[in-house]
Amino acid sequence: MVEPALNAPETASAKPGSTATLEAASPMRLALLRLARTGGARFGIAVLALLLLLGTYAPFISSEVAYVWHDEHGWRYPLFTDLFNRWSYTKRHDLLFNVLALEAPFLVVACLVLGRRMKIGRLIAWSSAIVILSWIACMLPLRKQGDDWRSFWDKRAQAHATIQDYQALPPDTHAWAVFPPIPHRFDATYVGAVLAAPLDRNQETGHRFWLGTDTGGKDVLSQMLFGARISLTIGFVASGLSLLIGTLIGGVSGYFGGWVDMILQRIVEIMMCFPTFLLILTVVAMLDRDIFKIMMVIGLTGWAGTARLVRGEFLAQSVRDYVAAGESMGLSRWRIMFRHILPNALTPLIITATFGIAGAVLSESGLSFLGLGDPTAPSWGGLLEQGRENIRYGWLIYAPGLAVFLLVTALNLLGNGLREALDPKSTT
Amino acid sequence: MLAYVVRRLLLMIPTFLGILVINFAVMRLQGFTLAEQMKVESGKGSEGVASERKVQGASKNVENYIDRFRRAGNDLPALINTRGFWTKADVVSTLQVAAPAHGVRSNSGSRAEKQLWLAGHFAVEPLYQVLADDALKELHPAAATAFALCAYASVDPGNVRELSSVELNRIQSLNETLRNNRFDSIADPAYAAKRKVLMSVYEDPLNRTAFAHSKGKAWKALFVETGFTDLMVKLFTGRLYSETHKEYAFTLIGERWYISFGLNFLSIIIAWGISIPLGIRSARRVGTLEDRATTNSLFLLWSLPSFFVGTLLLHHLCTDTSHGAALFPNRGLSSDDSMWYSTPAYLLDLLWHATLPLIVLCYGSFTSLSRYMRGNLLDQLNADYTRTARAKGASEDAVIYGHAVKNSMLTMITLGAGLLSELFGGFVIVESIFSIQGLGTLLLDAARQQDAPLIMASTVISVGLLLVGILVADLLYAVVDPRIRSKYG
Amino acid sequence: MSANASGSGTAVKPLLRFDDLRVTFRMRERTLDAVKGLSFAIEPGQVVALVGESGSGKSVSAMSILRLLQEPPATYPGGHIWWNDEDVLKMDARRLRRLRGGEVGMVFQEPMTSLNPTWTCGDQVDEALALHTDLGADARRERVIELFRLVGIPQPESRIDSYPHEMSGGMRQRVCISMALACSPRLLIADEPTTALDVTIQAQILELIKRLQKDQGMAVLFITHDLGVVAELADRVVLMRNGEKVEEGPVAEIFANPQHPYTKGLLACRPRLGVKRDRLPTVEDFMKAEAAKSPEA
Repeated sequence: MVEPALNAPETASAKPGSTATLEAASPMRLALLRLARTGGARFGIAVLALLLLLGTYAPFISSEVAYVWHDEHGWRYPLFTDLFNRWSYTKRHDLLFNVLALEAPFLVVACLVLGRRMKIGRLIAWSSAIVILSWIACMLPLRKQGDDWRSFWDKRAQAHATIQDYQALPPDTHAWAVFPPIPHRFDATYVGAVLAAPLDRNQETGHRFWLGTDTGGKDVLSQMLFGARISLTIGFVASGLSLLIGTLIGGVSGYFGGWVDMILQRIVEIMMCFPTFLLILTVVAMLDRDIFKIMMVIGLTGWAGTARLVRGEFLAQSVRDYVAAGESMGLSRWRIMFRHILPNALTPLIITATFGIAGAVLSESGLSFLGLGDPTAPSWGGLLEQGRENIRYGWLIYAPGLAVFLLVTALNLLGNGLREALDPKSTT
Repeated sequence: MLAYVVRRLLLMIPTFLGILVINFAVMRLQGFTLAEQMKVESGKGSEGVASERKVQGASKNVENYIDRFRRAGNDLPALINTRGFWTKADVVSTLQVAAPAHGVRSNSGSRAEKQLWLAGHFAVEPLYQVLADDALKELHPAAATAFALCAYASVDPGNVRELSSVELNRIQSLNETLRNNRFDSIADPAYAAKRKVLMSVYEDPLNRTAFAHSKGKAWKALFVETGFTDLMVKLFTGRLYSETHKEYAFTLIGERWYISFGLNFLSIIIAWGISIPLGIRSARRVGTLEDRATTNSLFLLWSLPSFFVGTLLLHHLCTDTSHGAALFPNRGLSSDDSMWYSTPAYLLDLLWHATLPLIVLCYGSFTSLSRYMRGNLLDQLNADYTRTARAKGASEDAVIYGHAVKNSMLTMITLGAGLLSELFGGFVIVESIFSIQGLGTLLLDAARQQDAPLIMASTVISVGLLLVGILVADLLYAVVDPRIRSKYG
Repeated sequence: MSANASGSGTAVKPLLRFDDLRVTFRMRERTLDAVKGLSFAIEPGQVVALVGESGSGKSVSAMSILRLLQEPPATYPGGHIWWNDEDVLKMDARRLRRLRGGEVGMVFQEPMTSLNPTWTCGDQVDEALALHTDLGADARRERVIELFRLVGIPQPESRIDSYPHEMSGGMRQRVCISMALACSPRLLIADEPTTALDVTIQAQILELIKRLQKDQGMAVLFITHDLGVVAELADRVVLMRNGEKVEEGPVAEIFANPQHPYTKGLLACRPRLGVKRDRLPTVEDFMKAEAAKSPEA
């Protein structure tokens, strides 16, 4: 916003009462408060949270497998077993979200209980560590079956679990089961349902395809839900990776200066000049199309902006007195860089990272849209590509297109809100 | 001014070289993919029963792979080629890893084998020595295969026109001989005869000049016959050959580059033409309802992915409805019969075709440019020197157009150069949506078919165009900014 | 405060008169009263110093004379600024533009940023001439050279085509002054013109302003927080604090016999040569001491 241009310091000093109350809270908490007050950021957070929730609980919303199955053998909960079935969920990120889905309620309760006594950042760090460790544990051979060790994430057959099984039961069987609201799998081809319009019924089970089906006869809504998992994973992993690389390179470059800086700056310049999307496109073209490779490629190519930014911040910070003070106390360079300088450079980093997530999401959907995505993953961009190939079928365009738009808008709004909250001087 | 231009150009050289290196590294990636496929395919042949036809089929496959490797320059080591110094002992140890006397071949074994197969004429002489040595009998089958594959002459489709028919026939018969005289074991009844034939290939004085080792050749190969130099030579002599199109890459690009270039150029002009007045208008009315509406809708547009917009336009405007024909054509840049049109009609037709692609191309940069323009102009309007101008009694228009806009153009030019690189990703998407036969679709098809030379050529051209764009922006900057002008006289 | 209370004490009609001026900044979350009822007058040819600490509203008052504050956020809820018989606050845009640069010239604090970096210095002075005189291009160029010579810029014929970045801070401030003087204004507002400069350059610029004021006979409103400058330059002093006038009078009188405790404090806490103290006293210290004394008295 426009301050009275001429006398910003005068206006600031003219209200001593307000500054006194502001001093009590930490700058981070203040910024968060300011963030929570901007409407756009609030909307962005809400959309992100909703997408995260839908993505995480996608198997609970859309699956052929029953929550509960009761028959003469007793009670069974096939959906929970199915979460670790490698036939149902072949991708590692799906397993991660499945683990998260199971652990999230407990973690939320734990965070609420401990919230008073621990910092928010620490709670988030602990929760993510628990989820990631249990995810890795699920992939390790920890379970003994017969003679060999197997992981919990394994191929397993389940009798009497799907809606097809249920409907095939003879009418006099005493069995009942509860199914998810959308009893369709995201990767299952339904017979006679190629390009079914929204609200059409599945001829086998009689349930509706709320958003129709695609050219392969797969449920669009179901793919949208699982596509959220892909977009979110890509966004966070890829931009996390580029953030990490960019911070390291920019930090080293800015702190050490000299010839190290010169060489690294050349590299950064080259990366800046290279049209990122073209680079991603060519690299992906040369590799086999796997969602994790795509993620890595997007992450490995997008760090130039971050590096330049961190370098600038480090250059600005390294002449400050506190750095000299640290050096005079004999702290190591790495410690000064990452424990003392980095927190001060954090503000612009958080903002770039938020926009970086949006960029990564766009890159992945763009790649899938061009037919260079992982053909086995239900990506939004891939759906949109089918829409482009079958231009008359509007639901194949609107559903994934609006989803990408919504996610990108949410991230951009959040980034903008963060910028306004953390860096009130900026006008754009 | 000249000094500035020269300086900028010099600074671009390392950037361009770096981009070539990255491109080269990316193309190297294909080597891994190919190697994986080769492992699978060659494995299929050798595991089966050793019927003559099957072995021949497999060897044909391997030869195809070797052809592909050689054409992409992936058979050569990346930066330093020491193959010229290989001796018999080196080859023997490699063969022992690749084909151990007893026991199962390991992963490293197949890697060693492939390394040998791809070594080309460098390995022929030492392999001949192995074949000639009776003490190494158990290595002879593997050596024979490797010998056949190393001596195998690829005919580069790019070069085929320049070869005489006599030469072609000679190469074909040589390849035939090599293919027919491989043997799988010493137990092969024709072992002695085949071995003799293979050895005679090397002993033939016609081939010998190509295969024989010499110190001079080895040293030359050390830096010159590497993957990187090979690719650079092919790139700068225009010999990158696209297999999928059966044509030189630069010929293909030459047919198409102006389409992409023209579209991009037009879209840049349109984007600037809209965004600057819009940004000025918005900044002048800062805080009003109109400003807020513009800013917010620009923000939403900015978040709208171009592939979604393009597909939506295609869906709504380019499909025939029950009411009548489509409003806009859905593919290409001209109608099928446009070659019969008169010039004005042709131009109208072109405009009709180009409207939607241009909209999709420019709205992305137009939204961000407008946002930047507004913010930047606001900064300038709050600057001290605009206050000075106002204190002089200059009217608001004079302050804005005379002082503030000119100065905000400085920042805008730098931003514009940065946006160019975004634009260069965008045209691939736009051209693919509207099926325009430009550089973007060429690149995309090349990417889908893993046509590495074509990818290399079109990325290099795109980046070259981009660098030219950045250079132009730099020059514009120098024209506007007296600080740079005076610095470089 | 009545309209006549400016207390100049003479019969001369004032050039500029603040009459209970109020300036308020209205921002989204809060409003801020920057000036709360300021009244004083400047007579033709008089040098008035407006003194106060930063945030006291002196710059805002000066800007208001030319209506240079951005409106909104700035608003004028009350008061008048009389320029001869016209109220500046009621002028339309055309009249205001004639006033700015033509009748009132202004010099700002930051010579480094107050000039447009992409215009030559000559062109920037020329703009003021083109706006307010009917001179042709050649005549204007002559006049600019003359002005540059007047403010002491060496080799004005070549300097006229220099860009601001090619000049030092002192030279740039001279360009700013020449710009303000271009149309022979009747009032020169100098908003802390020496604060951003080196001490030696400060003295030169002050000397220049003093000389020009004598030669051209114009009135000067000099805004500063430097009491030494005030003593050297000004005829009258107006002291401001927290948006209000604290004290006003001829320089000699105020310096010799300050009435208001704030003025006393301000004068008392000037550092002096030869007097050694542990800590320089602040105005607050002094006023606290004053307040403690007064009930006894």
